[in-house]
Amino acid sequence: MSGPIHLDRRSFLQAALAGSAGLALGLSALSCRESEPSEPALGPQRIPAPPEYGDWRDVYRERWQWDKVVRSSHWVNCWYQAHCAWNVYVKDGLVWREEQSADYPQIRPDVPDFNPRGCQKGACFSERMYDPARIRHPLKRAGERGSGKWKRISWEQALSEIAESMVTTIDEEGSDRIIWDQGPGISMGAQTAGNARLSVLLDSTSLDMNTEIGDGHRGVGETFGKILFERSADDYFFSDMIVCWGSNPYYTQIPNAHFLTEARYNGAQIVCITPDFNASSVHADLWVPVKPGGDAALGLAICQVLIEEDMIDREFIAEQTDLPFLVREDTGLFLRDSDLHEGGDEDELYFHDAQRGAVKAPRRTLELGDLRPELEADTEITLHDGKRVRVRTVFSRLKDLIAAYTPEEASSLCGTPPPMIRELAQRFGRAKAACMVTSSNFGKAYHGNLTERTQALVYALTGNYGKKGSGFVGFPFLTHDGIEKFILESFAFPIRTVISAMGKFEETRLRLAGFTDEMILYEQSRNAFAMGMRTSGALFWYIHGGLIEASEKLQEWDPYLDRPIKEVLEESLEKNWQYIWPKPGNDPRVMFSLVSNPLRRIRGYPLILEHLWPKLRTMVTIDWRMTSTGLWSDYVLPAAAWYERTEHKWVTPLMPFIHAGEKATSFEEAKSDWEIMSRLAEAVDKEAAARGIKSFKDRTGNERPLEGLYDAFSSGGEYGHGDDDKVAGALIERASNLEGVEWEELKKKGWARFTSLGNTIGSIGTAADITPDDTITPLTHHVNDKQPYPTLSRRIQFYLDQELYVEMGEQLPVHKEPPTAGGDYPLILTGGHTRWSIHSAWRDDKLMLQLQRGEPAMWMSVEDAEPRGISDGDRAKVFNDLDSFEILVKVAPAVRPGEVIIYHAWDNFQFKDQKGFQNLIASPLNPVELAGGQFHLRPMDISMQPSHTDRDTRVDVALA
Amino acid sequence: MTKSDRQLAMVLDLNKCIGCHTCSIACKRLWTRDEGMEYMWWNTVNTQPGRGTPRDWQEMGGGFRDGQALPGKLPTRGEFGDAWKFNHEEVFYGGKGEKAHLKPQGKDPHWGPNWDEDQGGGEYPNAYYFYLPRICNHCTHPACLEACPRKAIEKRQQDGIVVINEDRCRGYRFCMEACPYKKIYFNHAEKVSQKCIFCFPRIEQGVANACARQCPGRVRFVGYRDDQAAPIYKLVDKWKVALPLHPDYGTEPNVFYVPPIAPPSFDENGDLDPSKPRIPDEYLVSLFGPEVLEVLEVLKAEMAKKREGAESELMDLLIAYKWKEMFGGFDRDPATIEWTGS
Amino acid sequence: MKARYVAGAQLELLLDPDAALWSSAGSEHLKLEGTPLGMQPTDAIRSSWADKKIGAVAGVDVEALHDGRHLAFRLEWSDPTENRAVDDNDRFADAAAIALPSQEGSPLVTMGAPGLAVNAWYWRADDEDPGREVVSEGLGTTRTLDPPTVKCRGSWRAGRWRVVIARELRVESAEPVAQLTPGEATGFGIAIWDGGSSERAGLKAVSGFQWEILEIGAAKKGGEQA
Repeated sequence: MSGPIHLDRRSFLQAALAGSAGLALGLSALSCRESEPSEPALGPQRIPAPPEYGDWRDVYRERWQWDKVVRSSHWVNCWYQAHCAWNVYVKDGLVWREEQSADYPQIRPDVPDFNPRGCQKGACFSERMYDPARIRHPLKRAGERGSGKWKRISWEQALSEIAESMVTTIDEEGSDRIIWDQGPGISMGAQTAGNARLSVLLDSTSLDMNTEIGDGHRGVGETFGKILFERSADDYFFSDMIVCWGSNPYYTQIPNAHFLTEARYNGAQIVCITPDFNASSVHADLWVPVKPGGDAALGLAICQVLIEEDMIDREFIAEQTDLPFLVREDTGLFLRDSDLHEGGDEDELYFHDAQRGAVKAPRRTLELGDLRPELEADTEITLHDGKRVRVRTVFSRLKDLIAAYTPEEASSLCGTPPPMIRELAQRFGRAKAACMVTSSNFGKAYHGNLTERTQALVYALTGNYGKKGSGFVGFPFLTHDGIEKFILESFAFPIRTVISAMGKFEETRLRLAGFTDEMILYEQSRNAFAMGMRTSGALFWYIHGGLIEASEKLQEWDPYLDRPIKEVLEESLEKNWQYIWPKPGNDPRVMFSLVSNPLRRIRGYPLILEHLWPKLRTMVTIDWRMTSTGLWSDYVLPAAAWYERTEHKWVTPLMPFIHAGEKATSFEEAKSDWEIMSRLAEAVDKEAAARGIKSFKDRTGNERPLEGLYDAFSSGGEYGHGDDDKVAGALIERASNLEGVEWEELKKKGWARFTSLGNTIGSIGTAADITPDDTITPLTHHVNDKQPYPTLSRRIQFYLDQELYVEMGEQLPVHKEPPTAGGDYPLILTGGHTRWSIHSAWRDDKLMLQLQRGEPAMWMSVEDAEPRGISDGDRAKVFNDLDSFEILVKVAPAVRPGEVIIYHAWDNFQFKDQKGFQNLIASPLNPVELAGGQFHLRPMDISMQPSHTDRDTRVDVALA
Repeated sequence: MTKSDRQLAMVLDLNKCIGCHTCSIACKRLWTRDEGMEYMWWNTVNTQPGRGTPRDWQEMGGGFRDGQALPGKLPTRGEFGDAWKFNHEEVFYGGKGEKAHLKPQGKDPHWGPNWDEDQGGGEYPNAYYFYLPRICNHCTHPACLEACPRKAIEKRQQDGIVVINEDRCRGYRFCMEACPYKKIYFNHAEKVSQKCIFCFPRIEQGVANACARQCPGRVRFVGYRDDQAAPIYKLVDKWKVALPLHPDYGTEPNVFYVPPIAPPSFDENGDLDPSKPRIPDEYLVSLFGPEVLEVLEVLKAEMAKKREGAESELMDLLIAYKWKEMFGGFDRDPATIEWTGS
Repeated sequence: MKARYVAGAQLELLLDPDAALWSSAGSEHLKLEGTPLGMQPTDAIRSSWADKKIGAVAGVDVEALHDGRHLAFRLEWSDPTENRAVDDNDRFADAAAIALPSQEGSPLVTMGAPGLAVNAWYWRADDEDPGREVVSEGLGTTRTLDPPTVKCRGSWRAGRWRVVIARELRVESAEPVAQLTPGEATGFGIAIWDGGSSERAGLKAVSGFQWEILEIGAAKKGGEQA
């Protein structure tokens, strides 16, 4: 094997990225309970079932019976809510019902316990899994794509036809033309192990969907060098000011929400900052209205007050942020070592010490020793070429900037009255431990990065990081670290050794350079992106899917954009700031959607159907339910529903327990994801063998074997088609952050607390210890142990001098008016995650629909509905320059005039003519997100790639 | 008045209810799955202010005034919100492409069990709402029991649970007219009236009601009213912060509510206006009676104590650090039960 | 009133309200009156019906036949609406019943008394056949007998119901049901519930508090042919 393969144990990480008669039966004795709580039963209690032909009471008693109970959960990414341990009750071989297990421990006696968790969606999966949306058999389309005409075929036929298409593609055009869109079904368990092994062995393209879905947390990444860090939900209890700014936890953190309401009783204040009086504001202590798109202005105004009234934590700022760092006035760039010394390091920056003047900022630790960085400095310095330049601190420049953001001036930008802005600033200033409830809202706004940077700044100025109950947070994720090893093992021995050795070599080099463990992981991830081992889903859809066409008018919409966005995109790809795979012009040919629904999820999806679909020879959906994407596929393969497979799944620090469960039942011809991948691997192997194709050229030009593919996939037959349990166990065995956890016990118990964050890119960013008897506060390793942040400055970084940021005037966070995406229309279409479904998994479930209006609905303010003659329950036409659709209207005093709200994940087939709100969302591409090339501003797993956005969509509404 | 030896009760903390409906689904997936029960939601959660389930139930009469039974209306299925049928097969397999889309079949629905979710009352930016879960109140003076000419409704001696004897019931539905809370449903397949049974099969085995045990918000306390060691007594009789809904209906319900506290409202300048509570006092009084105002003061005072770092038994009770202790002894895990053959 | 004997009549024919063997010449018109408000057993019912008329059906034409084995009553009355389906909560089915004393002295007004049962044969428009047979020993004590022995057929046309309710003259039962003999007389009463007026339970139109008399014709040979 020739040439380097920059594969390493981190780079295979798949995208994220989720009854006078009663007395006669002697029951009165049982129901006359004593008042002391009963001791937990030691083992099962055997109770005689009521007689078959009793009276009406026995009819009810008989209903509450089952044959067996199995631990399970819902292996989908409920993200902030993952996960909840459930007991699945099986009767006559079918799942009858489920109920939360509710046996988590209390972590600390002074903090409420985690029980019972669960939500209404999980509580009706027993009904969902048997409803008409369920796919029973493999299907092949019998008409045009999207026609709804199907033919039932056998698994054998399906797999062999798909394998044929795959082998043809690999042989004739390239393995990278095979695309895996792994959506919210990804588990990091057996489900993922199968897909990971196959996609990597075939050197095919796996789409990292996280920034595409809108969870890129761009501003967090720009500021912290990472996006994955969060607290445990019980840590909220230590906060005295819990801020929901862009989040709606009473919709999206149902099992954690009680910690918020309990914290409120415990003396905390809950502050909600939202445009509408939303569900989470109902139990708040303060609700602050804000204009959609105005949050950065609000944040900057808060900063202005904090600084003016000196309510800032100077020590924290000096030690943990880049605010004392020096910036050259002539270029607007950081003062670098390479400026002061010939051949000096481009990545070494300076701050101004009171005594010593310009000093290199320590990079291996945040420990200052006797250094005293000054927040404000204005001085001159001589460069190595003799030039004398004026330098000032970032903080000084910040002060200049926020002078224009007094509450009175900012109010028109953010829509928040000046007294409220001052009130908020006072509260932040006074809080002992202010925290923020994580929000993925701003990742879906064009200038969301600016908002997040501003939010991070508010917390940084007040020193609200690292203390229990404090901290602005990023995106939560916590997973076992066993999967990389498992994937690596599927490679033949010599290759595996080489890869490991190379990984170790790289690691040593980086460690010597002062890189922390997490920096090493991120660097390896960045390499993987550079090599094409990981691919930005967002860019894939923009380029191969044609979504960029919707940004044609972006210069009209975005007043700050001076050149065509396509030009910026080209520049970014040319300069290797961002990467796209397959290369433009190399059309995708075979696509798999695994428990994912891209035609529902992607804003502006009609462009995908127009540009990408015709290029695809074969489109395969693997899911347990029929979806919009399934309807447009060539093959639909029935996946096992969650209770039908043994599995474990990633969670988040909010709920730091891995969850696991066993298969409770089977259904028709559905197969587990592992089994489907396993059989597909076997089919591809057979097909290649039949055609005498023994190898293929991978992306880097190296020959890779196709012969023996299944042997490699199955580790020489060790992991067979039906070996979900074994695979799941193998992953746990290889994990380092589940010490003492045995798989056999875990799958029966349903959960186990993580013992550390582990050495995986998914978890390490939280930078805190996990102990069995305390809550988790994020970033303590940085704040308390002085570990450097994975940014250029090694600090929480507010100044960005990469050239695109300079071009766009975003070195510091500023307020920018949102683009009028879709045209100059008076209303802004906002959204959020719905209470009623996790993505589209329950969107067309009849029980969930029954508790709504049975179909998609749009919330509208009284002030906007009345002049348009629209009453509650009317159907309206919503339109802009891109398209139009019809929807039912709910008129609500809670909605802010100027906004209309449609909560997410309605499947396209739930709208008239199957045309919904995704049709008219342009998802304009923000040029700064194309930046790259500078330390932490480079694409890596789930972050620092361009986003898809929708929160800036302009529409108007008329009676239909 | 029907006196039972002991009385089971429930307290719902409206400062914790987030409107997720896990309680409604827990009940539905347990008891109301059979034919004739499709439209039944023995547990409902409504956004208040709102027209509720059934629509405008508070104007449907029933109950008592000055000891006299009042006439009441029979809510129709449409007023409860009938169970909609959907056309999944047509959309997925009907071969109609984009011409078919998923929607409730038949006439467009005009009401549902959660129709006016999250709309609320007031005027922006002083809009307000909260969530009100309701089950049968298992009243001490049940209007339903007293209305039935066949004495087909009984109040259990041992625990005060009010049940409809479905063998005796003839489906006359006088109970439905009489109940002022409109918590009784008619089953057209079985031709009997049906309602919340307080999960008596679970209670009998020491397991708390499904709606209570499955609530992720930890909203509900369960227990005997006379059990002084458990939260119910302390909230209802000691601290008196848990009030019945519509005490004016005269039925003496045994389900109680801790009233909700909303964030402050704004004046015309955008300043906080502490003089005007976001949820108008009159609205809460209309639901819970005049005592509710005093209860709010008690809650706020105890919350203030905690804010200042002092102790508060009431706040600790409502926080309920240990989830199991919310259920007055009915804390057995149902999964530990193994049914032996009948 | 006489229950004429019809030799050899098939039950199916008897059950057909439009069969030729039923002739209006043999029918008697009975006036019906609503049950008194004061007799409604609960305060809730009394309160709800204080201002409403109880007993929407003012009168009924009755005829009775027997074939030596089955006794059949044919009832005909005016009803502007056909209420067959109980398809919403506020819908009630039209219904009718024949009450018979199970023994001497059973009081009609209280639907029997302890030890003095009244036996009733019910027809309900939403669940016709078999009908329901009950015994009652006082108000609110009705219990339904199993297996069902009563047969019914009903037909509504142009504002009139025509209903036949039949049962064997004698049945095997441990319950105190009416056991009838050709050649002997029995009391009877009629109740009609107008579903369209939400009538059910004790809200009905009845033939009176005293038994009407029915003479069951002797099963002579050479009697009327079917």
